[in-house]
Amino acid sequence: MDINQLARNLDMDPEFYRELLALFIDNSQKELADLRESLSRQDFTRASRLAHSLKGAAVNLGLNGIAGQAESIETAAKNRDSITIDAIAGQMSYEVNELARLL
Amino acid sequence: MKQIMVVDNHPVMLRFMSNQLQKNGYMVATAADGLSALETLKTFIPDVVFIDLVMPNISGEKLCQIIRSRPELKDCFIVVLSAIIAEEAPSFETCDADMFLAKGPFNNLSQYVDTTMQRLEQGQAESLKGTVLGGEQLFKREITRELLDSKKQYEATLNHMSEGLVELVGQSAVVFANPAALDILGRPEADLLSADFAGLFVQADQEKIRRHIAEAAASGCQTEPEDPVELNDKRINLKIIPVADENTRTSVLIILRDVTLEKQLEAQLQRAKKMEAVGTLAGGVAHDLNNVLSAIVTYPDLILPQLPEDSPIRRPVLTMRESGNKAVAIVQDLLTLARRGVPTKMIVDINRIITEFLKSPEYRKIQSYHPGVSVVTRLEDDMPALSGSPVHLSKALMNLISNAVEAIEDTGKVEISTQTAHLDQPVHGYETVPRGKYLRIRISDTGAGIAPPDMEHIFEPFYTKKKMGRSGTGLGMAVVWGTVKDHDGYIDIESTEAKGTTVTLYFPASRRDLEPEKPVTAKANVKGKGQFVLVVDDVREQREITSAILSSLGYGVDTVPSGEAAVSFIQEKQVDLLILDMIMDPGIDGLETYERILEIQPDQKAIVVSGYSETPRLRKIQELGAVEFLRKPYTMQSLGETIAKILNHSEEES
Repeated sequence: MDINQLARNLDMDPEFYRELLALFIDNSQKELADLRESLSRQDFTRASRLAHSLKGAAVNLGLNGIAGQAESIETAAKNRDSITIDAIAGQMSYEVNELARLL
Repeated sequence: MKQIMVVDNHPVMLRFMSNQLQKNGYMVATAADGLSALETLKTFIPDVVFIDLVMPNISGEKLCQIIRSRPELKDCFIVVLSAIIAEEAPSFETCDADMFLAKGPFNNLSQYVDTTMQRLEQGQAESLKGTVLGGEQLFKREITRELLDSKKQYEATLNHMSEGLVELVGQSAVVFANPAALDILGRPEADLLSADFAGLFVQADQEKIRRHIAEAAASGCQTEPEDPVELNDKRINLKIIPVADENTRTSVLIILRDVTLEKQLEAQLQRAKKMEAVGTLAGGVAHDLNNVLSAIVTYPDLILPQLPEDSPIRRPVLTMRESGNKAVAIVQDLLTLARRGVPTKMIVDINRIITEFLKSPEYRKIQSYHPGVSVVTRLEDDMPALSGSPVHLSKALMNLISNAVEAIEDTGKVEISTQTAHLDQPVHGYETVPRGKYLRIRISDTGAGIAPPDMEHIFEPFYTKKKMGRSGTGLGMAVVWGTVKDHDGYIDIESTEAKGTTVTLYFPASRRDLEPEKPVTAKANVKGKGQFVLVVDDVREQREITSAILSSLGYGVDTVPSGEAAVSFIQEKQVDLLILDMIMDPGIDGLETYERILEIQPDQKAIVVSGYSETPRLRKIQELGAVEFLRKPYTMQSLGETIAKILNHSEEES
């Protein structure tokens, strides 16, 4: 994954894109932690909302992989499928950390 | 176009939007939620606002609504940003925005934002209004629709629940209120959002509410203050529930329940209980008083015939008799109240009770004191029958009609109406009248009215506002209450001082039809023809009084102090009539005495006397044979009439 390439895809200044990405990573890590916490309480409504928020920002930044994962979590939350959510959230965490490493 | 505001809960979106707009020379204010947006809007008047549709606290839709309601923001152009546009067509009906802008990848979004701003700068706001920009190129998905469905489900619940629900952030600011809450709090939503919750209530309650909220938030446990708070004459119960919201910030949910009616019903029940207790007590006293009174009422009857017309003690004795009779009236009312005697279930024609009372001497006497009062009756024909005690019902109606007439000082009107009423809805008045078919009796006057503090007590015994000595025992309304309750009825009373009072009685309609009126027996000659009477009573004074009356009426008399003595007496000697006290102590009571005597003399005639008009044993004795009932204390006239009735009646038969 090349950050400069992602910025170019969106016709954005790479520096500004990096700034937004940093915000995204920071916020997503919080949201993923919240997501796990809401799973432990079986609060699927909240899980679904968090995934929805993650997805929106990922779409904004052209992060289609993460957007897809967030969408899967939304579906799984609808089905109250905590195992799937947990698995996908793990992958997402990895992807987000990967982005952080690339910054 | 200089000042822009962006409201979105995602930091990435906020940063992107401010960068995009600042780049083009705009002054940008940002807010992460509706509440901070409202705070900013107090000082910052934007030309354009970009609002995210889905936000915690106050939603985008709500925020639009509030902005529209503020006069200083009337020129503000509202753009709603939303990813939901991809799933559901935005609705300008539910969301009062000027235009919608679909969220998507930033390259697209930056173009849309720039286009929008350029067109606004060129004065083309009108052409943008009602448009949706960018809806076609969005990430397609289905699940968000489901998310929306679940949101709709919650919304439907919140919109239709009868409890009010309010959400607060920072322990004070209202960020959400469902329709029931708006109704209970009596404020439009735009006023309520961002308002200080405790500040909505009266000063005295504010501190208490703040303290409860703080306690709930600190402990994380829900609390429900015991006493309701007051608002616009309503009494409201609060249930305070602390919750962790999306940003793990504690917010507080408050469930509001309007308990005004509930509290009213509680007070009604309390009042009814009190009335019952006082009634029972009064009845107990009355029972003993009744026996004591006999001497006072009857001795004057015996003394007076023996006094010369010009005797100086004639006047005092007359006064004594009069006072005694008043005391008897009070005691009778008390006994009615005590309700030891379960009322007879007879078919009663309410209209006839009213018309007969209006023809009676008692009524004419009242009317003579109040010549300026006109009485109008509107009685419905074909009223359903009422099953109950005619004596009690007429007493109650008489009391009400007298009260109405006496409430008018000079001139005025009393209206008495009867009607069949079908209540589709319960009537919440002095009492709560449930749905159903009723006989409704309404007595209204244009008199002095009842002061609100008195209203609470008017059915209590001896709570009277009438002038001493004019009329009444102080028990009139208590009798009304007792009678109505005995007949499973309800009372409503409305009164305005100096305007008048309306009392409405509701009795459940009985299905039985009215029986034709029995002919009234002509007044009998009360003098005896030497017949022989045996008086059975355990109280010595009573025996003496009765025997004195009987002798002076021309009867032969003997007395015995107990049922057992009476049985032995009858074994020895026949009598024409027994006068039998119902309750005797010690020994057998009136019923058992009569049963034993019937074994010796199967056609023995008897008069039973008792302070109570109705008891099961009294009913039974009246079914046994030739028995008449006489209520204690009796006068010479009433005893004479009863004896004549039973003796003559059976003579006619034989």
